[in-house]
Amino acid sequence: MKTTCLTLFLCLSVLLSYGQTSYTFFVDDSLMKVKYAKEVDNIKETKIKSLDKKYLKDYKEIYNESFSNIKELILSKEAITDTAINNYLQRIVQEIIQKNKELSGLKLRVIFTRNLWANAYSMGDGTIAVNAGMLLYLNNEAELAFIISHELAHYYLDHSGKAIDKYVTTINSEEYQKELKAIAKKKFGVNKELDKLSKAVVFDSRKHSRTHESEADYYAFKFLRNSLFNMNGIISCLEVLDKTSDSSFFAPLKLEIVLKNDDYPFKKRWIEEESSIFSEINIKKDTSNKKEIDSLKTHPDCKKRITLLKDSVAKFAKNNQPYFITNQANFNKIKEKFLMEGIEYCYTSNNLSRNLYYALSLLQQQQEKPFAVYSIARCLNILYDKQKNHHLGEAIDDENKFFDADYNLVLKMLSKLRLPEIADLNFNFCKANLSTGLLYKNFEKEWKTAQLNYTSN
Amino acid sequence: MKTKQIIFLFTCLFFLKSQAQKMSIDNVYKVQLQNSGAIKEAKEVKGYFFFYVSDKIDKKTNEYTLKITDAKLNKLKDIKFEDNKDISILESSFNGKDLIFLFYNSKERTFEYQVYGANGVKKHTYTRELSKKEKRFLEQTYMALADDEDTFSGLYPIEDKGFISNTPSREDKDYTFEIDFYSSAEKKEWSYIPTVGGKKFIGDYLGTYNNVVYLEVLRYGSLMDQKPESNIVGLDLQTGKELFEKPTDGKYRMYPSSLNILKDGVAYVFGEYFEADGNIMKDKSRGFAFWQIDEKGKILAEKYASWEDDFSKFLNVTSKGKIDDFGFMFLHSMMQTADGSIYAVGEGFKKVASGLGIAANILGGGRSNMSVAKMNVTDMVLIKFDQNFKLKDATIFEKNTNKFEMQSGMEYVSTALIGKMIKYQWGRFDYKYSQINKAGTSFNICYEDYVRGKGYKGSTFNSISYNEGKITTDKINTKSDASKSAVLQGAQGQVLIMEYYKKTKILELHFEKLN
Repeated sequence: MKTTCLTLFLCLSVLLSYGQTSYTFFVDDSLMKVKYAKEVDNIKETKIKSLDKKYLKDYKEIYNESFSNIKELILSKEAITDTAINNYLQRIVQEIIQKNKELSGLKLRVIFTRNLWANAYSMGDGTIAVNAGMLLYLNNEAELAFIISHELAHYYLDHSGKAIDKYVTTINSEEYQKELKAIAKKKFGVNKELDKLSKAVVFDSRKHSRTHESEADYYAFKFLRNSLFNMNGIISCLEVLDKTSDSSFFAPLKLEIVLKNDDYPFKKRWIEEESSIFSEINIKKDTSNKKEIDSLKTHPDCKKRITLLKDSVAKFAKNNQPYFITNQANFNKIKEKFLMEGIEYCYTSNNLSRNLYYALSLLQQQQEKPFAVYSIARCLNILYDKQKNHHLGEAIDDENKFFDADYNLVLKMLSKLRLPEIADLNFNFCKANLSTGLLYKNFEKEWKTAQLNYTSN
Repeated sequence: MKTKQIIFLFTCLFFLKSQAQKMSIDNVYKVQLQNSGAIKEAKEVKGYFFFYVSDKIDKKTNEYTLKITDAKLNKLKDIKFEDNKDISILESSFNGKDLIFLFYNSKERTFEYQVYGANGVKKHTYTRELSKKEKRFLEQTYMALADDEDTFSGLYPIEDKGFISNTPSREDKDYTFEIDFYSSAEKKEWSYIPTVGGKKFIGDYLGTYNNVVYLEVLRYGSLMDQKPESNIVGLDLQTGKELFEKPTDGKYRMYPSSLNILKDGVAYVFGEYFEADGNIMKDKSRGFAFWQIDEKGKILAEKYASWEDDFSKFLNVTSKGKIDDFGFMFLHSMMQTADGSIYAVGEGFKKVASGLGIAANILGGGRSNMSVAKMNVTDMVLIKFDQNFKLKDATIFEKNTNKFEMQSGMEYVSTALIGKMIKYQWGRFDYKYSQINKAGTSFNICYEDYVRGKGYKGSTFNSISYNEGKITTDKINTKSDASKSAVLQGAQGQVLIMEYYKKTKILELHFEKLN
């Protein structure tokens, strides 16, 4: 069997070596990263100098951590600084800035990230990040413009600084300190009182956070109203946001089908359900502490946000307002690229279970097949290596009720696969997908490693 | 993301130094972890519990939180309640549907068994009051030693029906044991305490088959009796009524260690066997025995594999069971896989001359407390029988010899008894635990070792694994940068690596698979 494989491999290698491709990923502009990082350093220096001396220690602690996180993000592989993509993003940003005079003086660093979590955030210093996962859910540039406008509003209104001020003044306030000291003197029921006190602070902070969100929505509406973008993008964007937690970029993953192999049949026990403690509890549907859950939310419900903006949007929305200021094809192309960037980022950031899950999903929907086959082979080889050295637990997630069922199934399989099974699975997967895999430039190396792992079993 | 961090604020005492000092919630909050452990269904880990004092209500009462997680440490439920400040959790078990916790109240002298259903709601509470004598006896025996294998484990799941509890017991002047059944389906319980015909009883729960609870009972005529009677006792699962009591005497005398139901639905008891009139406490075993048993305790078939005739084909073993370099074998566990094969895991031990002990005796004029013999705990051995109980293989897995000095007089104690002392009294075997999955397609035998190599010097966690017919071994180096680290049981085929960083008070936990 090994001789047959080798012959097949050699024949295919010769035939395909001239037609091999590899996916072209974005090339980050390292100079831009350095420039942005320096800007952040300067802002930090100015900020620290301007801090209220009264609670300097607390402020310093918070701002040092905050600026360190911002710098880390900018300099990391997560931040996309590819020139073409950055130019595209700045075009959307500038359309909003130029049409709103109050925003013109702001020093901004708006970037896309490779993170597939559907999120966007303003970091308080003028750095705004829009995750690749956010863009994947959006239908047009008008929706993207609303997202950016919302984050711009947070920065423009200094919500982050206000939240820090509120926190620092609260914990240093006479009233809070008096209450804390009184609790500390108590002999009994101390933790109960502390829970009450901390909940009051958290609930108050979350309440303000929700107020800030509504305020940011309102300002985003104002900014967008002055721009070219179609105002209906606001409502459709909020509708999309409402669904992001329940949907995925892919059709449900059928592991048994994607990994179907006549030479190495998929084993049902890899994904078999087992007896579990409190099997009838479905915490997702538990509404017993709904009031508390609602009080802890940082954002108001999307449905409430839609209700608040619907009438105003209807008043200003016009049919001739464009959904795209570049073009739809370009937007869709960027979305496709972002998916690939996100999948690859899971690999570079050592989140191998996510990387495998997305690559399998990609293969299932026959998208970028050579890259998908290559990614799966590469991921399984590294998983083999990590498991052999007992470091697998550092690179894969554990099953969790908050993850999609499909992803949990991949995690279940990873927790069940034994070392020789990973080698067998990868060897047979590569063998079955050899012609597709060899179309990808670096697959050959992975195939050789898979064979080596297989024979060393 | 991948590493779970749990910060336990272990009793942070707050000192009010001056009125001007700023306070934060962190430096006032006090949480005290009472105990934690794995929740198992037979040998499979299904979750974990963390039991801690979450608040002090008054002088006598605490608020407790019982945090229950799944096998991946995801929180399932926090159960909060107020109770006397003297309670702790001794054991837990899961029967595939319901969960049980054994709470011990040292002041009130009670055992409270709390049963929780699949919906997370408490179903039943069973209370057992302990006499002063019983409490003292339990604290010296059942509660005195806790280890990963649960040497004194006393809570056994009966699938979908309830739980069997086995604890030592003190009835008047008799030292005995108590078997209790706590139903999970409905509120129903029964107890069985043997006291007739002896002064001391030691009982092991073997298993349940066709509504019969099988026990191995050693009956001692007096407290000093050196040759106890060995019997298999059958109890009715529904009522606790004794159905039979049969001596473990067939062609040879057996000391059963477990009862397994084979694929064809037939029950077998497994264990080491001795001469027909042998003393199972003192004599050296002749090999392994497998008896087919019915619901009336009748032995239907007997199979034997002897050291002399069978094991000698695979190992250099004497008729008394002593293996070259390995010494004598202490049987830790027996497991049956899906293909019907039976695997037994043992560990070697042998007495050797102690230079230190001899010197101490010479210098002390024979009045030294140190024995002239010391104990060497040697290698692991894995023995395989086919489904017809024919010995198919025996493999020794080498590890570093674990040596320790013994007290004077130990050189005269019999081999069988000293094996039990290493296990139950001194806890010096390297074996940690065995796990087999429900389907019987995979098992792991885990043990500790110490390595003095060029690249690594320190403790290792080792496994012998079976997966669909293939045996592999694995080793994890347990020394790390953490202040304290430990390897705990995870779901079958996995371990939970726990690393505690004293400076940051952070406990990092992550799962790793055994290869």
